[in-house]
Amino acid sequence: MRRTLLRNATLYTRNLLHQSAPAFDASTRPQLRLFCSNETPPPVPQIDDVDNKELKAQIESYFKGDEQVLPSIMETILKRKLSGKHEDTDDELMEELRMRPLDDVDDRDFESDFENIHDTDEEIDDLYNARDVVMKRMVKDEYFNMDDKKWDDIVEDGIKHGLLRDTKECEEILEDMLSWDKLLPDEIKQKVEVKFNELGDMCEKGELEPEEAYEQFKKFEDEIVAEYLDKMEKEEAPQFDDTTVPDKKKDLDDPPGEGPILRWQTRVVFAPGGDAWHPKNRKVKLSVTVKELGLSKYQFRRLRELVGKRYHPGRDELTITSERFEHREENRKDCLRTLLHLIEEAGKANKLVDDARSSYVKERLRANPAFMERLHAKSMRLRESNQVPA
Amino acid sequence: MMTRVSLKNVLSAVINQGAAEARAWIFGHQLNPAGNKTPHKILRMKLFGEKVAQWYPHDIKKDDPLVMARQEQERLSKLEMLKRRGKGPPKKGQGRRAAKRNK
Repeated sequence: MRRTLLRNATLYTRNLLHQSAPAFDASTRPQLRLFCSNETPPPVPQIDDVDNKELKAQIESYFKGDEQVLPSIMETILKRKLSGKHEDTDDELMEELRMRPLDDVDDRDFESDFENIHDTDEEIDDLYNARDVVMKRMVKDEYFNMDDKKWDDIVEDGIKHGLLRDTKECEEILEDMLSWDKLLPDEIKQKVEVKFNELGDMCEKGELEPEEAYEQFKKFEDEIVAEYLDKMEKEEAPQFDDTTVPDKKKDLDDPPGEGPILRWQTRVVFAPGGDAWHPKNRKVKLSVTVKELGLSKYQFRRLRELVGKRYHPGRDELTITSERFEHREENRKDCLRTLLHLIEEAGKANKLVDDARSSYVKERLRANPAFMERLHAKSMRLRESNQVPA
Repeated sequence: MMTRVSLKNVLSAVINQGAAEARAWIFGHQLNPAGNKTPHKILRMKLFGEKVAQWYPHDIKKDDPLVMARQEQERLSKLEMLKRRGKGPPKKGQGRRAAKRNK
């Protein structure tokens, strides 16, 4: 804790002289932010005092041209201030140092530090030629200056090569990216939270220093990530094919259900008065495509014989009309009954054809004298063999 | 020796076997292969007596006996006046139709 406090104070002191600080690692800053604000600094014990001779020597070396001594000088001043023995003289000294400008300052140091800290885009030498510069960058980098058209092309290319088979899956991935904190399962979240709280408590009690706590937390996070990756590897990832996959779009116009499509035509007359019955409402017309009935050749011919002019060869359409009953729903039932009877009656054609073919073959065989002779002889032999045991 | 019949013709004839009876049964037709005279045409018709009667609206006078009696009385009075003037109905055998028959 003392080191952190000292370092923080030193940083603040350095900024007063408008000199850029060296670059920090990414892990150091969040560490400070995570743990410093929650802790109350304990009383600082006695610090060694620095005498005037040593301080004077450091200042003289600095003025002679040694710039590296400046941090140690400020540290020395801070130590003397904390000891509280040289308040008057050190204040005057700090004022003197602040007001005195430095003659020779290396711009390279400032520039190098600045560039290390802040990474800016490349400078454009000729601003009047911005169009060419942009075109060069677009040629060099595919993802430069992205717009909706480019995104659509990329998505289309992905779909074409099978990388993005399902747009819905892509949307799910985007939603996951939007709400990334919900990705991990609750177990892992609870583990991480418990570990974090535990380490925080240990830091507050003073059992652990913030650096060590952060290191332990980092290790724990790495372990959790590795564990999760192992889990993911167990679940086999889908393999993508490089070949072009055609878009298999379902026919959305096909209604659900089985069997042929029945097309009904009815008339509804809206007449004044309460009674909805009208003689024109009675008639019902039912159309069906014969190919969808799944009939064989002979069944189809029998059906055509049965229905006569009700069948339209051009459209392959069978139309059944009924106005036998007074109400439309009764007529619809009658149409359906008629259709079912027609299908049943047409189905008999196969059996008739089989029987006719069998009888035809039998007639041909019976008309053959050689076959009849052999059949007769065989039957005689069978009869004689049966009589022997008797 | 019987004349040979090809299989295709046999099958074609078999497919249409019993088709007329089946059609009649399915669609509710009345089979009449000989073309005899039958009352089916009249039996098939829907009952249309009420619909014909609707053509003439209901006259409410016929429900009132007083009105009908007065009309009958007026008719008799008118007939009496015609008879007195020699304009009544003719006797049997002296009308226009009977005279035409003799001629």
